[in-house]
Amino acid sequence: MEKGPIIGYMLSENELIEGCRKGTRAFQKALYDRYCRKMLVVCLRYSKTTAEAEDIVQEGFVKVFQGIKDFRQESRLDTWITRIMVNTALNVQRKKLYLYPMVDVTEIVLPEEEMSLSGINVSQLLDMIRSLPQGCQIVFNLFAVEGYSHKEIAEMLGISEGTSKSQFARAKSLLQAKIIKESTYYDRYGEAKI
Amino acid sequence: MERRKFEDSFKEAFNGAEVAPSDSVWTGIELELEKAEGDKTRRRLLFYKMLAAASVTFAMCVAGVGYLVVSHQQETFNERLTSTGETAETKNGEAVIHGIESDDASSSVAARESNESSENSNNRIAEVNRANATNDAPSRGTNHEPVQSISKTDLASEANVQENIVMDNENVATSGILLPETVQDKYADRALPLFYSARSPQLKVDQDKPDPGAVLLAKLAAEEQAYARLDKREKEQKAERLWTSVGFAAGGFSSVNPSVSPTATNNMIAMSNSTVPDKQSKAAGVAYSMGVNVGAKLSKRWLIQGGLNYLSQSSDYIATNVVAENNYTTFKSETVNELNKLPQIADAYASGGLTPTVPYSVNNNVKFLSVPVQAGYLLVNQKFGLQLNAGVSTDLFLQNTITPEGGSLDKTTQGRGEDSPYRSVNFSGLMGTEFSYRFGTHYRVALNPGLRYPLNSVYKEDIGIQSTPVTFDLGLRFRYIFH
Repeated sequence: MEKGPIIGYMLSENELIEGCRKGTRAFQKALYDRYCRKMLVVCLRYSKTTAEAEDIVQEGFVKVFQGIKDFRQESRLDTWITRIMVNTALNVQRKKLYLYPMVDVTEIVLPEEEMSLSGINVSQLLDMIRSLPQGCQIVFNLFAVEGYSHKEIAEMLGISEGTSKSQFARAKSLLQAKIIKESTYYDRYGEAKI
Repeated sequence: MERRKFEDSFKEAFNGAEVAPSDSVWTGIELELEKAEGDKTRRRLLFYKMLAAASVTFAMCVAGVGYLVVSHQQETFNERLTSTGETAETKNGEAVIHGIESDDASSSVAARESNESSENSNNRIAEVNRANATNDAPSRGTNHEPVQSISKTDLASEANVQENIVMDNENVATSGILLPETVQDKYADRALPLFYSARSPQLKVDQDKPDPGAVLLAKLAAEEQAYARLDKREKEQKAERLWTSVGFAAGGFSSVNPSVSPTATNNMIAMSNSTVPDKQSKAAGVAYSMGVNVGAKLSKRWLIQGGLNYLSQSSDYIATNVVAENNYTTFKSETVNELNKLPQIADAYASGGLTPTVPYSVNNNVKFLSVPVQAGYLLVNQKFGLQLNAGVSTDLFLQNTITPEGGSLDKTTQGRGEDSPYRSVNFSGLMGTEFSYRFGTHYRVALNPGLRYPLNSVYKEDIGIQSTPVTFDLGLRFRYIFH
């Protein structure tokens, strides 16, 4: 065992992975320190409260440390961790979806004006996404941010492709309305407010 | 296109975005990982427990079957001994008659009669033998007729077989070869050749020559004795009376009913403020030992063995403080060793004795010199061996080494003595089984699942921590047998 403190940012990705594979707590802490902030953003997008997101981060990292022995390094480490976080979040949210199943939404009217996110910071965007209904929030994240197709989302959530599309359309409609509102406020007062 | 643009703008907005989670998240992760590792250790211990239980059950089954077989053989032997005792008086006669007529109910009466008559005849044969022994060679032929006439007269009512046997004895007696008493007894139960049971034997033995059958029997007896001597010598050479062995064992340990109740004599405040005494006393871990042993056989089944072993027990726990010394110039890991050295103060945190820090892993490695003495019982002692062992071990504490992992804290080693929280001398109960395989006349390899149960807490009494780590291990021993 090397002497001196383990400085997370000085370690390469391979060193981190090897240390975590041996189960060394200091390397696990270093890996956590490197990725926990980014992963919390991912989990915040899938949850309604910060406490809920932190629970998902906790559960997700435990899975990461237990499963890192099987990580074959075919993708980047942060991509692999993100996928685990998303799956963990989906597992948590699936229980809620069982209670409040998604339904097809008809007659979605999308605003015709051009959308711009200028002047809206990440915190506000997060709040907008988290204010969406449960089903819309998940489908929007999976489609717009993670880049899954509606077919893949339908398989992941056990819904029809049409339901996925309609939920996304509804999410988009709601978000656009919020963004327009914020943009108007920004244009008028120079500061966004929700 | 605007749709794609809308989605991409969201994706880009979150690129590089970061929000710091609260400190409790890492603490939660650490607790979950510790719990999972604990479960893993428990599963490993369960495996060793099951292995030990299975081996003991197996040993008991073998012992039961062995006992049944041995007792059955003993009964059979006793029965044979009794029947031999009965026939000892009648010598040859009864065995042959039983052999021929035992199925017939009416034959029992005849058998009894024949016993009585054969006793008489044997007495007479003995007399003839004595007479022959005193007579010289030319007179042998003359003695034949009266003896034959006596036997034929007295045993006229007996079966022809009996008559022929008597004739045989006469021939042997008159031939001048006096078989030793033991030889005659030894072959008493054997079925006689057809030649002897014939009503009118065609083959007449020349009176001047010794009976070839008797000569053969005498020769066989001598050969058998010679082989018996050889067998005995060979068995003595193969016997495992004394042996020495080297071995290695690995396993796991966990504490049984650990408790922490700091006493007024030690630093109660520091002990109470810290969770380390609790964690350290409850910690489960891995254990290994290696050493040399000597064994000796006390009887056919019982043996005694002892030796000298080096024993190492290693466990990990998470500490959340460091012990500051010399006005915060030096820091040491949070261990029972260091906590016990802190001065008696009202608040260990306030005085700076204990300083909170980020959680870090600490490895505690405790080393003992163990002197086991065990009694063993051999259930199976063949090429494959199976034995049960039980005994006590005197474990002399050598040192414990504290290794904080991945940090800037130094590794510390504490030997035995007043400063150490560990007892210098400990006693443990030992129990186990040994499956062995003998290859060659000098070597045996053995597999030893075993259990070690401390008879006292490994910590000193004034520390106030009770910890008796029970160890399950699986050993491999290589034995050299002296002849």
